[in-house]
Amino acid sequence: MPTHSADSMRFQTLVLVHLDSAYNLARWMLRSEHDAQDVVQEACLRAFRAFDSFRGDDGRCWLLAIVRNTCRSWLDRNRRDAPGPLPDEDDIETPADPDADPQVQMLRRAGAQEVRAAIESLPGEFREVIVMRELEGLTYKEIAAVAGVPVGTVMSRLARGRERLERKLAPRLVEGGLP
Amino acid sequence: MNCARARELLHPHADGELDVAASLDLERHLEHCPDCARSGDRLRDLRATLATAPYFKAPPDLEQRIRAATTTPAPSSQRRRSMLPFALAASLLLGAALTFVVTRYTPRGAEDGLARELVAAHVRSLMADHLLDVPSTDQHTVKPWFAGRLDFSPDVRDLSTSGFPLAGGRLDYLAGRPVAALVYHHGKHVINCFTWPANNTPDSPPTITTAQSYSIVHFTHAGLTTYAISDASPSTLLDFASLLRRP
Repeated sequence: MPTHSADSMRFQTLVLVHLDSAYNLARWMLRSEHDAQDVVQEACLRAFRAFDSFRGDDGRCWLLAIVRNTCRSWLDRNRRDAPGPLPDEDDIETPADPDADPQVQMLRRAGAQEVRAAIESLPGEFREVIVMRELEGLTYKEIAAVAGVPVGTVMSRLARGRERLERKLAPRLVEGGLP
Repeated sequence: MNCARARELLHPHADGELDVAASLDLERHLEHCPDCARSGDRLRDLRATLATAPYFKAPPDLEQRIRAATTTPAPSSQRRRSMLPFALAASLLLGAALTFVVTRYTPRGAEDGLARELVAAHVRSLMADHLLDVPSTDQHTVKPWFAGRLDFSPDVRDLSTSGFPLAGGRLDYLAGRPVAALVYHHGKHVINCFTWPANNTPDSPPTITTAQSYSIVHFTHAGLTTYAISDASPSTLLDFASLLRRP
């Protein structure tokens, strides 16, 4: 627990500047504005109490790791979005698509709402790496540090999450027909 | 490179996580494999589409709540470390001193830097229990004490009969050089009297200023420049200065 105002300022300068990243991750992980606010506040206070242990290398990843853990505890407590067994690799198929170009065009047309719904429908393990990579721009190594998993796991979850998103976003439009 | 391996590498390639050699291998494969090249295109387009997903920024009131909660640290309830009370006391003391200096000192004029130093030195001497290196009411004890510690000899006077008894002296550091600090009392007031060589500046009569409700009197006399600071009244300090300039 920092006891000097200088530490408080350091915390706000090094860690709290990444509040948007923290909130964005929590918002996607919890899929609720209200829960995200509560969890982010709790996570930031935890981070502040633990600030003595911060070694000053990367405030964003340090904060995101605490936010992510707080989210996971919250999800476990509330039994929502519990991390069920990951789907088998066979579950994922490369979409057979004879002509890629129309599909690519339709992907581009997928509205922000559909994109959001597609990401939110992903299992939590896939969703968090997709958000950290595609929205936060974190490297594999940073994602691995935040999620506490090996880089290889980050890679496979990212690939499988993207395959799911592609299936969710593309066929729906193809089958629904063009306007 | 076979297609299965190429599909695996498409993701780290798109994410800029692939080393140069593997990237070249993959690109060679994509040139000759339309299926894998199409997968690469789809990945690129998917990523462009994902980039349109909403980014949720923290609401301003959430940020305000967190800033407020991390600005004034709450006392730790259980794991109170043994040093914590001392640390708290020290920070309170520092906070009080800073508040004192910051809120009560209104800078003005060219002498502000020195005035600030004088106030700081005066406050520090009273706070840090470092008022005196040589506590003595005898100027014949105090004056020789500075010999060997300074490259000049301060004018030390016994003014007890005039109501300014000498309390002693110490070394201090002001205006970028070591100086003599002589401490006099006047009733319950402490007067810090800083003096150092005037460097050929002509003698000047006492002038009085105030900083943060402290009175500061300055004069140059007999090759020494002197600043005396106290919470005594300005007129008291002017009296004090005139006593120090008596032949």
